[in-house]
Amino acid sequence: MLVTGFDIIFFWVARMMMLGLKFMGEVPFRDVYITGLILDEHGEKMSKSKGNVIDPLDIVDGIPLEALVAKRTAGLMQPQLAPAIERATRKQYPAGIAPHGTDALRFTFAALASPSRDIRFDLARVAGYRNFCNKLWNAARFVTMAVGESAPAAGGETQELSIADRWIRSRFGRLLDTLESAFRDYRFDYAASALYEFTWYDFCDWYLELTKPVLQGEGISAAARRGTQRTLVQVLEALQRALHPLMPFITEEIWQRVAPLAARTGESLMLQAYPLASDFGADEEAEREVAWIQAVVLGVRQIRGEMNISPARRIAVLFKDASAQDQACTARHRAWLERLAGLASVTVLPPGAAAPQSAAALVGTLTILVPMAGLIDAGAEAERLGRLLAKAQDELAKARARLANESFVHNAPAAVVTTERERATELERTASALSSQLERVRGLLAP
Amino acid sequence: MEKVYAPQAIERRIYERWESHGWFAPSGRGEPYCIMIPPPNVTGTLHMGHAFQHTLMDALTRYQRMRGRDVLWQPGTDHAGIATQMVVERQLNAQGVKRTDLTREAFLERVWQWKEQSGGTISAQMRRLGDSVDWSRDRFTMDPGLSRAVIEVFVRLHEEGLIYRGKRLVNWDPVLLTALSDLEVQAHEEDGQLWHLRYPLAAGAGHVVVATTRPETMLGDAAVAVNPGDTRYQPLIGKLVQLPLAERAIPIIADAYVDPAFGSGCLKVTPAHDFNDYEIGQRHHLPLINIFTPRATLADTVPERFRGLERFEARKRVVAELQAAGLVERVEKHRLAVPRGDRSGAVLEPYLTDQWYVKIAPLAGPAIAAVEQGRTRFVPEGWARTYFEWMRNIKDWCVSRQLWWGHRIRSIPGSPRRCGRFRRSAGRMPPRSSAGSIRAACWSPASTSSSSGSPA
Repeated sequence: MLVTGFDIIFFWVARMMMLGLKFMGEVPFRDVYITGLILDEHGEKMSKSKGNVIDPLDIVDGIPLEALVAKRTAGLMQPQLAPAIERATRKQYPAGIAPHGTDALRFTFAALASPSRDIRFDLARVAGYRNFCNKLWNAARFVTMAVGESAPAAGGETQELSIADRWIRSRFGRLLDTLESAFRDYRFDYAASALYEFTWYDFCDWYLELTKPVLQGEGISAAARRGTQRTLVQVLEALQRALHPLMPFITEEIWQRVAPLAARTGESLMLQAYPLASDFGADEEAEREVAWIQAVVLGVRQIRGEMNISPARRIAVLFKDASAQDQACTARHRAWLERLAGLASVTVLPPGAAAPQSAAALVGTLTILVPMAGLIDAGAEAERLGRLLAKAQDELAKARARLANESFVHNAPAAVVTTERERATELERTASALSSQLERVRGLLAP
Repeated sequence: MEKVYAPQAIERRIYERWESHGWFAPSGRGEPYCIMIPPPNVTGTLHMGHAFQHTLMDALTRYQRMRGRDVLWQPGTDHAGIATQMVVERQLNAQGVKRTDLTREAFLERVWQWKEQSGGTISAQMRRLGDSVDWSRDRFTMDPGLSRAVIEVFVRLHEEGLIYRGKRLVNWDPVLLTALSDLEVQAHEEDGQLWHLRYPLAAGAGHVVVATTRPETMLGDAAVAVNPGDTRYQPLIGKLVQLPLAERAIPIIADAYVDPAFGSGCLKVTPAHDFNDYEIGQRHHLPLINIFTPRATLADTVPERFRGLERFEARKRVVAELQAAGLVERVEKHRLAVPRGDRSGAVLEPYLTDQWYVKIAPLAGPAIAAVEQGRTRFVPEGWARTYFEWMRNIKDWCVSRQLWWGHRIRSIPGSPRRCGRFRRSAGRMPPRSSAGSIRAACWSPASTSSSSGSPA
């Protein structure tokens, strides 16, 4: 097949088709994937005269400011543009360009590869994906250290898979399904975002945390520990295979360490088989249960955020209107809830029981309550919220006045008016949220 | 594992290991899967667009390899003809040397040296990007094999009558002294002028007024055209006008191309210097009077006092003389699209030259069908529309250029029966065939065919 830009259809693709058919008797390629055009972050074509050219290897290896300026101002067809180019370069990259590594750049390109005609390249995204590489690396370190030298996948010893182990395997299987369609349809952007979300959220943010009580906790059976260790290495290993086409270097490096632990042999990751979705079947039950855990944890975190409760502070929660299923999950996953949500205790309220003054969050039909007594200084919090609300309302009034001013609306540039309108809407939202918050907190104050 | 992820510490080492083990070569097992790299031009280094495309190609290559297919990502570089020649010429100019100060051989030596340098940089960049191409199959568009293929294809097409030598108008760059394809032409709107000139009738009193943005080309006029439906001029069709300055008579003809609403409704027709006029000239069998030299100075076909003048200088003189003779009715400001070469920036001339063309229609048919039948598909599929539009309006392809850095094809005027039996001559010529003779295209100078189709 062929991967090329749309301008090449005329120069080259059509001529290859004609001559290929004529002399080889068949089409020279079955698929022609037409990429978008890379533009700078402002949507401008990259050109020497615009002074916005970046050498891709300078993003990989980094380049000091002076060298970058020199590169951009040397050999210009119109040398009189040099001073402006130098100024703009110094302004945009005061510290030059930092090294990002090849994999971060490659991943960025994949993430940007949507079917649109123009593709705006932004260096900030590469920095983001460099962080992604770090996150992957750290996850690999965690796994290799947690599992140690033993190869837990070897041998026929029994293993017990926790609901989290089953969950991550199921999630990985779904990722592989997505990747298969993405590669088939040339949707590199879907492939990149699916890999990112699985790695960052499912694997690192959630799964690694869920393994900690099993790996470190007391009273955990050897079989359970084994199950979690095996899942950790197996999924991490398979993840390197899944990521390899986009990020070949970091995955090869990690894989060399992880493969033996997952009982996989081979000289190189690039020669390995791509993971199959069929090896990671869907586990609906596990997905449901972990989704429940996530919703509860996120609900508690939301309350913490609204009530300004420190994450370090352990809190007691009540479950109101808990169904039988909720209660069963609570019983099974108490340890996780307490650990991930920072809970001192979880109490299921009997039906009809009265609840003390609490902040609430909903998980389906279940209500999570965090009793406020002694938890926050309601008076101080009310004051704080009151101040924020007053400020927001004040700014909102000003914005509204400006937008009601005929001469502003008619004379200011359209973009400025639009920005002001958006600002007003945002302030309305903020004021409204603060107002309800304040009411809730006031409700906690002694009558 | 190291505490910190340090890409610079691992990338080169890993790539060298992959390459040295030969793991980029096809495995020989499984269903074949091949991607051909759009060969980068050896004009410099890879840019962001390349890095973007290479990432996608490498992702597909690695993915398919891991899916068990027999995978080849075929690398190569493109000699890029005029672009590369200009890069090296600029380098020489910076040293105070002109290309024409050197022999062809010496100049080409310099270009091959540059090719090594640029090619080396490009492959180093590709290795850093992680491109899993099979380096053992690296090709260059001017390597012996591909050069042989170019000649072979040219000769075969010629033998089938699909290549012809034609005297046609091409986009001529008077600075680089070469023809350019339509695609190398950049036309931008610029400020110019529109002159309204009087051409007196040859017999009797009266005149017609023609409007032109290029007064100097009037010296090559072959006719004045009016729209057949234009009642103002119907009585004049078939009559002669006396062409000022050139002192010859040219006919008034009727052609539907003329827009009665533009200017006076009379169009001066200069078949050798305007693409549209050329078509009119073909339709009416008008003579082709070429008034320019290749450097766009006035040739010996014009009155002596204008010969040798640079074209825009000639314009001033022509206008001055016409004005003195009271033949300039008026001049007005006018925006027009000016074609410039995308490399030299010079204003291009539609110019009559002998060039080689490929008759495209017989080749386009199957190529259109292949996409219609889905044997080749575009992704996203909307681009097929672009392909069809272009393919259905395609013109014959001018494949010759006047360059030093490119494929040289030996063509021998003479009887076709003598083809294939010529001895190798000195210089960087294509390699011999096994019989010791070289493939060549034979053409008869008598048959400069004017086949259908016009240059692309």
